[in-house]
Amino acid sequence: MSLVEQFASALEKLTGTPFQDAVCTRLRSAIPSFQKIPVKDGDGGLDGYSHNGEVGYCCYGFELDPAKSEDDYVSMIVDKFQKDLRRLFELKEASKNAGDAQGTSTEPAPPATIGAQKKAQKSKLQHVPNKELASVLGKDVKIRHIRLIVNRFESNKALGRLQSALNRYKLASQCRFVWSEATLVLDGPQQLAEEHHIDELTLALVNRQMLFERLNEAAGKMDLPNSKSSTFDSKIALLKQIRPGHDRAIDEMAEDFKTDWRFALASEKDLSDAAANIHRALDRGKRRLLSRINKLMTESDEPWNEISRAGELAEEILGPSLEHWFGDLTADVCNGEVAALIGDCPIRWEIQSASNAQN
Amino acid sequence: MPRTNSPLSRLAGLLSGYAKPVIDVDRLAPSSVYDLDYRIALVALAFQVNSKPFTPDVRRVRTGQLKLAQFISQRPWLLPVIRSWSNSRRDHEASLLVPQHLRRGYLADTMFDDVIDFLVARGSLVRGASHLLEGATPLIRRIYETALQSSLFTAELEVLKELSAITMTNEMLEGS
Repeated sequence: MSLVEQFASALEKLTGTPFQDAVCTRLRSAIPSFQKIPVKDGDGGLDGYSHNGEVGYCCYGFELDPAKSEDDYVSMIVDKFQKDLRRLFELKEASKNAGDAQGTSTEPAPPATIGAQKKAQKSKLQHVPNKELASVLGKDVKIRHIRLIVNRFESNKALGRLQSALNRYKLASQCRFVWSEATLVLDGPQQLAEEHHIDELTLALVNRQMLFERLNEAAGKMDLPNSKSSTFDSKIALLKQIRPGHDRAIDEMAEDFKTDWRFALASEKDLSDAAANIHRALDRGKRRLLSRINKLMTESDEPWNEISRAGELAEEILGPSLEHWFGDLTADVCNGEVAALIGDCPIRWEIQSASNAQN
Repeated sequence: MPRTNSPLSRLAGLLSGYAKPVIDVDRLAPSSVYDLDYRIALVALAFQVNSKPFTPDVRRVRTGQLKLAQFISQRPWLLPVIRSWSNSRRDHEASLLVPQHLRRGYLADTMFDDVIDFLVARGSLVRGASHLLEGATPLIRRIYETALQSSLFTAELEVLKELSAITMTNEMLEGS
């Protein structure tokens, strides 16, 4: 399999935000003027732009579903990109029929008028200002070319529908952000892969996105031990007893530990299923890590300080094996492993007695 | 690099001066996946379920098939992946739905290689070019019979039987 094929194949498997991130990372490395648009304050319908705003990019990574047909995928692509285009053209579809919109009639239309009403319905587009796009593109900047990028592009049926939508929106729009002669292309992973040079780094980046998506999804499904009988919850209860008045902070900390713990469980399962040799190294490394923390705590006058260093120690001891698989997620996995040691059993705490305190 | 305000640093702050952290190294349970006795039992079960008579007295199995079978027997959630993979052998589009990393996962099971080395060394298995054959010591058959008589490893046996009904090609056994 060539690098181009590997990259295209990896992109096809990404969905949602990870697909969008992978495409933007790729475009940024290939096109110096590419600007990714953060979603936080609203992206205005664009995922990125380049050439001083003259080229706009919209991405769509949908879930592959064996129950869906190619026509279903085409409809999903057309619906999503029509929605994006309407935002760029500052348009929205009006209500389903004019009568309803005006609140004058709820009666079904007589058969003779249905055709006319459908026609009216088709052309019923209303202007809706897109404030986000104004701040994203800046004053007097208009898009000349729109590039739609999807994670699966097998059928040509979407092309005609999208071009028709573009022409329809041009006619209805005030064209404040898009030229009235603007052009549009739809590309899939293969086109994106063939367009620019592919190297090992590009592949590594897209594989990392896939791993991140996989781990987060798996972590969300991980069950922790039953809360009433779990050792972890009894440790948290003891901590609240030791530090009264800090319940909220302790609960927040416990939730963070649980999140990290779930991530560790998901990471271990991923390793065990897909890289059993690294999982075996991790299994051995955990004992070394625990012994090392134990030694440092025994030698220290302030053993609790060594707890805060456990994450660093985990990276030092487990990191060399884990980074082959997890790359820059290794630190997160290591923190998760320490959380799992607290959650599972081996790391606990007890009330410091006077004699303990003196020692 | 330590995370700012990580739960570990917050825990250290809460414990500071009030409680003593304790570590019970012995309470760290190793994963059963690396328990030698368990793995020998799985190899024995997988061998008996998947092997075919080579001579009237000796059965044999493809080494790759045994490796994959014992690996999946511990991970029943991968059974649908193997089934889809087998079904998609001539269908490129469907094969896209079978994750590549799971296809190759069992190849990295070095514990299996160690268990086989051990069983070959004690005469329970004989290594062929691409197959493993029953050795002079009847350990493999004895473990299988004991498991059946005492209803042990029933979940693993169920997975192995389901797996044996799935067609395995040479390409699949190479993880490709």
